Amino acid sequence: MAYEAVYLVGRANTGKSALFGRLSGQYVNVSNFPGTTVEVARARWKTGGREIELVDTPGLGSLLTQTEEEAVTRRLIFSERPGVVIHVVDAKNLEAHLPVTFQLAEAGLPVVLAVNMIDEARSLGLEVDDSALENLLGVPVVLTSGTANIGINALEKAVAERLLPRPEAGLQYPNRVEEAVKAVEALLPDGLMMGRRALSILLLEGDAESLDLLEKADSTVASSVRLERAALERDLRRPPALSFAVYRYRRASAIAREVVRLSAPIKRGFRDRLGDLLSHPVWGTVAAVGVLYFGLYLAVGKIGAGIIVDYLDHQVFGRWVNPAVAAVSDRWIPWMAIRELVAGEYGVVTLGLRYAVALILPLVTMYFFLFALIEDSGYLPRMAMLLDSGFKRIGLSGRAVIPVVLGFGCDTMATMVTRTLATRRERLIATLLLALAIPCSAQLGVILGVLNGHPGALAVWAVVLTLSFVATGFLGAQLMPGESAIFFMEIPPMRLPSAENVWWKTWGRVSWYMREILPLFLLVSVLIWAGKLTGVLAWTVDLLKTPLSWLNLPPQTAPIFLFGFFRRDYGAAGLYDLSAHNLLSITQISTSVVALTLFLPCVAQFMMMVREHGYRAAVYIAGLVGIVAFGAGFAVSRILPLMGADSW
Amino acid sequence: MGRSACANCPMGGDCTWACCPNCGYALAPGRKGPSAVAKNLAELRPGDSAEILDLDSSGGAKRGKVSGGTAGAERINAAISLGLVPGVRVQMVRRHPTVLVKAGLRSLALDEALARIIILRGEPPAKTG
Repeated sequence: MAYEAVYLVGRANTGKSALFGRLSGQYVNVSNFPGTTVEVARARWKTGGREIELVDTPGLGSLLTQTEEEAVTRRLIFSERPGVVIHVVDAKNLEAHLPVTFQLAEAGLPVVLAVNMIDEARSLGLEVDDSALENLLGVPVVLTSGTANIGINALEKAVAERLLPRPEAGLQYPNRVEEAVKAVEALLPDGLMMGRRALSILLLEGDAESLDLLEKADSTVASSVRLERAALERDLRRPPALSFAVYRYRRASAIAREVVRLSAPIKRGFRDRLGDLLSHPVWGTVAAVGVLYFGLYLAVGKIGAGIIVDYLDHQVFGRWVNPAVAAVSDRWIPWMAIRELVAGEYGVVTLGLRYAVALILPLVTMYFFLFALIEDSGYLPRMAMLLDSGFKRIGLSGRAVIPVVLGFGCDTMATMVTRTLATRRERLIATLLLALAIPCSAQLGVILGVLNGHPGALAVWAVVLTLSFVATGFLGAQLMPGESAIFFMEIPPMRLPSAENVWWKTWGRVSWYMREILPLFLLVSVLIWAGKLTGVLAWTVDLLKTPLSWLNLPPQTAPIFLFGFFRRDYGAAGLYDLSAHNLLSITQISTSVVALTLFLPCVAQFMMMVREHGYRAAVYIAGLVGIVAFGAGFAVSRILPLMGADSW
Repeated sequence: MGRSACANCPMGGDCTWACCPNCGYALAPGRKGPSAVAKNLAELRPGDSAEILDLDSSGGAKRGKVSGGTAGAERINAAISLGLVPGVRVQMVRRHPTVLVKAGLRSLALDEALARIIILRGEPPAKTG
């Protein structure tokens, strides 16, 4: 069989993506937290004299999948082109990872075991006997480290050899269990993508996806399989999934005990103590608040929005690019309309491109850079742990920390990342909250700019946002039916962020952002131009005048909300102009900022919501969000004057 | 029962199962008995360690909106996913705000509901009962 692909499979925190980088010479979204590999990374890899595709997969903790991401990985390795699987495991925790090696081998996949992060294990005094392990397992074993560049050539060689067919390794289970496995194997049809034995075991373990597929293919076989499973459960007196897990774990432990040697007692260093401190309920919270303040407010708000954006906007574009483009277009473009399109008030270059380069790019890059630092250090899982009990009250689990925090960078990306949450209910609630109350960095930068001289309004905005987040989450959790979220997560050791990793994580996300979101930007410029030309713009502004008057906002604020649907920061920038010219009272500024932030998800995010949850759910969520935005704006517009806001 | 059936078994003789040396038919131990003075992981005190004995498949359905059936299976799968299966030894680090345990060199966080389904092997009682 000619293999055309090589899949990197393994849990999160095993250095898989760093290994991907070493092998292919490219890094994409290196991550140590479940759920942050945004897309499946692929690269052309030259090895064994051929060019094949190297694929990095989202984390896999068991072939019996728990999250949508794991399901995606499973589907990839079985239904895409057949390929060699590099199973990447953590050298210092072999017994926890080998059970999956057994599962992969059972499935008939050609496996090469990469015992990774060997440098970390060695620094703790552990050594792994790779030839003994290879003998015990029956698959090729290579000791590697992606970050320290160990064993890469050996790994390439092993993969090249594995591209040739070989007998499979696996586990023999106790007789009663083997009896059930063989009985189910006999029932299965031909032409399966997965090895018979592995599929039989998955069915006995109760895997929902496989059972569903079988039900659709042949429901008589499916019933017989169910009977076998029930009989096995009766005889074992526990769920078969548990029994299989126990067998694999026992064997894995026995193997680990034989091949891993401890040369010196394990010492606890500064990093361990820091890790403990950050997990501590009190100190960890202090740290989280500190990170929020320094990260969001100072770095994104003050430095990002204030200094960098200012320079790019006023110097580079204001004094050089815009006048130059205006001059060129005046000279060379005879049609007024096209001149408008390129260099007018909402021109593609003068506004669209300027926004993208001078405003969005620095803000988003700053945010993703900070996020990468936190991610690479191992702090995020600790944050998740601290937030879990709070999040439970709004129907989420601590795992939701990742899409929520990522949402402060880009809500669209975060909506896609909700895939890492285990239940549909959690995914919906998280999507709702992202659409409502999590301002992305682009928005945040401009809004913090608007609120710069008005600390009172800033406080109001922050309070209303937090209240909306909590209240909506709480109500959503009460009203949405389904299982409550389960929280479980491995907490990795703290690490010093590596410059390489941080660079590549940031680059990966920023380039995704530019590719997915930027074209929308330029499209919006064109739409606005067309709207102006056809009068649709004026008509829509007219429509919005009435609801805005209920919020005590003048008609000039209409474009803010209209543009705000397409690009939140466009809207906010309009607000900036109005407030800079002192055309709005403090109450009006507060009302606008609150309503705008809570307002409908931007067009890119809406499309992502449709992609993840379907039209109906997306429209319902958008509708709900619109209502809350209006309601909150209304409340602010009435309550604030009563508090004497306009004299602040 | 002798240990002759253990030679080819992946458990490696390190278990409390009863196994027929003729046909290899294996039975899991019952849940009652002096060796299973069961308490669950949520009850383990910080600093103490214990071995996992079993996972409660009723899903710990004592309170809350948990509906036993599927929630129970999901919780078991979550525990398996973390590698917290019978035979593993864990040490409790902290119980609030989330349960944090150490298993080998790994630190694992889980919520209280999940910890409650993880049944631990208790120490045998001091007096014969």
